[in-house]
Amino acid sequence: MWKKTEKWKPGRLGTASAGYGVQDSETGAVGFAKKQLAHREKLASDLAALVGIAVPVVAVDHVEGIEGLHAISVAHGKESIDLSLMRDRLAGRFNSPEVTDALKRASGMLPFHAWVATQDLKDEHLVVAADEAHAYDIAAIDFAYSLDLSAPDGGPVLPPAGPPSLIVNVDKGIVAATLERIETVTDEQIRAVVQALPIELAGDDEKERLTAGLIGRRGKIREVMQKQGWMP
Amino acid sequence: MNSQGRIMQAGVEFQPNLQNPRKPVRLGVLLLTSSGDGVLLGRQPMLERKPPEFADVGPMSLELAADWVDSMWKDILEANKEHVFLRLNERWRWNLYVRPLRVRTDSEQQDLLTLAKQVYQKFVGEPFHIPVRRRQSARRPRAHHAPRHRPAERIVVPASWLVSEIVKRSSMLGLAATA
Repeated sequence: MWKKTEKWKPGRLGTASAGYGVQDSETGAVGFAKKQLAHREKLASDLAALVGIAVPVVAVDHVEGIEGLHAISVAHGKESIDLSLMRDRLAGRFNSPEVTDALKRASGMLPFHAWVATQDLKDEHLVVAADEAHAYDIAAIDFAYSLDLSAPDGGPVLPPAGPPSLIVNVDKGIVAATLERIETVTDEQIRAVVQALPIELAGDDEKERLTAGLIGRRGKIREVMQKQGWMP
Repeated sequence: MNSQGRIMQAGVEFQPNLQNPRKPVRLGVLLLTSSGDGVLLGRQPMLERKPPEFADVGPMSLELAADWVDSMWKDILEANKEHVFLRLNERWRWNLYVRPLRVRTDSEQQDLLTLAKQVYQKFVGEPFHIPVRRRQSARRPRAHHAPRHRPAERIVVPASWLVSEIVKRSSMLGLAATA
């Protein structure tokens, strides 16, 4: 059971990012719960897991005392910070070789964003987790503005316009490897992930649109990555 | 500085572990009036002698917490005409975050700094001691807006904490702390 918690209570955000801190009474983990566009958060997280992209696990569940299902994005690491705050307030770390390496390792997010048509691409949506050994691990968050795929085949694939720190640190080998994983995801796998969305979050028509869109876009990413010069 | 109109209050907290959370560490308070005056009072862990609450906190979070007063104040200034708390909520939402407190409307003409000290004591659980003002040197005058960092009285504040205060006025900063 997820409950609002006094142990992590950040202020509310605006628009589609609005939500609140919650805690799982069984595991103790905290997460950020959102009601708006919850199906997109869940679907993006599940698709990311399918192709090896770091996106925090999203649970779809109720929050005690609040009506309706929420997408609950579980915290990324014991300690984390978004890349924008790191750039502005911890510039020494941001410019370190360790963070640059972590950004390069995260290059697979670019073909993934192209696949799911993420529109809100900024450094604030890259979360850096750090451990005692100065190892950094970067995850993508906030997919509220994604997966708006037009029928019948998901529409044209456009190159991601960000996040800026990813684009200036592209590792072509990682882009290629991620693209290969996306291209080898089967229709059945895509259908299964989409169908797993609760009916309260996405009806049959929406699920069909999403499934057809993801299948259709899967084969259009390579050309875009090549044109961007992001492939070996 | 007497307060004018509504006063928005927020606490600043640090949760050391987002995967296995414990009681957050309370670091300070921020008060902004609807006319744009602002007071930020806080305590920061010292890097070399970190307090027990930060014992198992990694270097990245510790570095951020060790300078959060200045860092957050920069964000308040950069918010310009935006809603200041919305800006802070967007920026500070990780281990170190801004926690909204209630809006006050009963504090007209009360000194904002005095009020902030009361809120700090209630929120953090210990009194906030305004650093002793030293006579300014003729050769090195302190910048008008510079934050004051002075160890507070030894009896009250453990040596591992640095207490910091920033007080600003909207007429100089163009703050818009609208509700």
